[in-house]
Amino acid sequence: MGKRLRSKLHSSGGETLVETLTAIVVVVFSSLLLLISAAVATRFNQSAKRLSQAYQTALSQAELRTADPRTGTVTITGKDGQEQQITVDYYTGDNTLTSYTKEGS
Amino acid sequence: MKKSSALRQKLHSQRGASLVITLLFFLLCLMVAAVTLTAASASVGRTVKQRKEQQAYLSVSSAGELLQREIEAMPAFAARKEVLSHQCGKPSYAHISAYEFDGMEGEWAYADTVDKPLLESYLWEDALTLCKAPNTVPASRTFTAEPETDSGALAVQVKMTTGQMKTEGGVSSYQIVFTLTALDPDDPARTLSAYKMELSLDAEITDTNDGGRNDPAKRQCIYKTGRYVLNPYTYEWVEETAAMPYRLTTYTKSVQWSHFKLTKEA
Repeated sequence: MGKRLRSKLHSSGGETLVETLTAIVVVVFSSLLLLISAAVATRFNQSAKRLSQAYQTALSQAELRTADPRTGTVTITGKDGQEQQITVDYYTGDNTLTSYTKEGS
Repeated sequence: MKKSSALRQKLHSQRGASLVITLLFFLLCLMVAAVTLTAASASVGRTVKQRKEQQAYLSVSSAGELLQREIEAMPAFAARKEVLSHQCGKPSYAHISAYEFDGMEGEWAYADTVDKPLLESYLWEDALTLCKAPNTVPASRTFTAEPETDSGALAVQVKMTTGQMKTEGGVSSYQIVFTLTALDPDDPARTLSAYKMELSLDAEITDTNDGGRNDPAKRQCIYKTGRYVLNPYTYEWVEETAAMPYRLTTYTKSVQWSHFKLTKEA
């Protein structure tokens, strides 16, 4: 029994087939990994492009104040807790970026 | 000798070479995939970060502009007149046809800082402090401009420092510097320091113009009123003297805003 096992271990018979099959599995796995990562990266890039376009729109709406103004207030609060409320117009672009200016100015 | 020959043989052997090559290929694929994914996710992250920075910038510039507009609209700063002085007390007669002040003309100004909006009282208090003691530099004040929570704009901390620049012919030029810093929206107690802005206001201020009228003991104004006298029914001018109810302070205004200086902190 021990002799047979030892000879089996030292034998190189069938090694090429196992080696080739393993290599094929590794190559297929690697290629799949590459393909999946490329697909995910493409989706990320599309998402970034969408975000960037939305950002530019929001920026111009907020900075150039082309968005519809919404009247609200800004509270000036001193260290002593005193407050002053100033009425302002808020300009929010694409629901993300906001600027404001004194009402009517 | 035997050992080195076995090593040479092992090096030249091609057994298992395909496995090594495929493993190298796998490693290469892994690296390319990692780089691609990192670059793509970084570009999404950058857009999100850019948005946050831009909001800080918009909040600081909006607060700066709001301060400027608010100060320009204040009576003491907005009126493009050389002299603003306190008005005398109103004559007690109901039928006033004319009244004049002892050489003074002007509009209603403030006697003290009570009942004035916060920002205006800060400016006025500092101006008066400089009037009373030209060489005194008032301490800096800090206040916050807080937009509505659902507006998306960030709160901005404002440090207001008033410093005297020079005094010429009784006129003291002074400068107010507003330093604005956006606050971290996730922790309002912490300064985000993403953007800072210095908004300078150069103004001139002068104390009372003289004749001792600023002396409380001599504060009085002479005015003439017209009144109806019933018996006989006539109209006559009466010269009256009354104590001035307010401190006389002549406020000469000359305001120059410097350009906004918006800097991004490191």
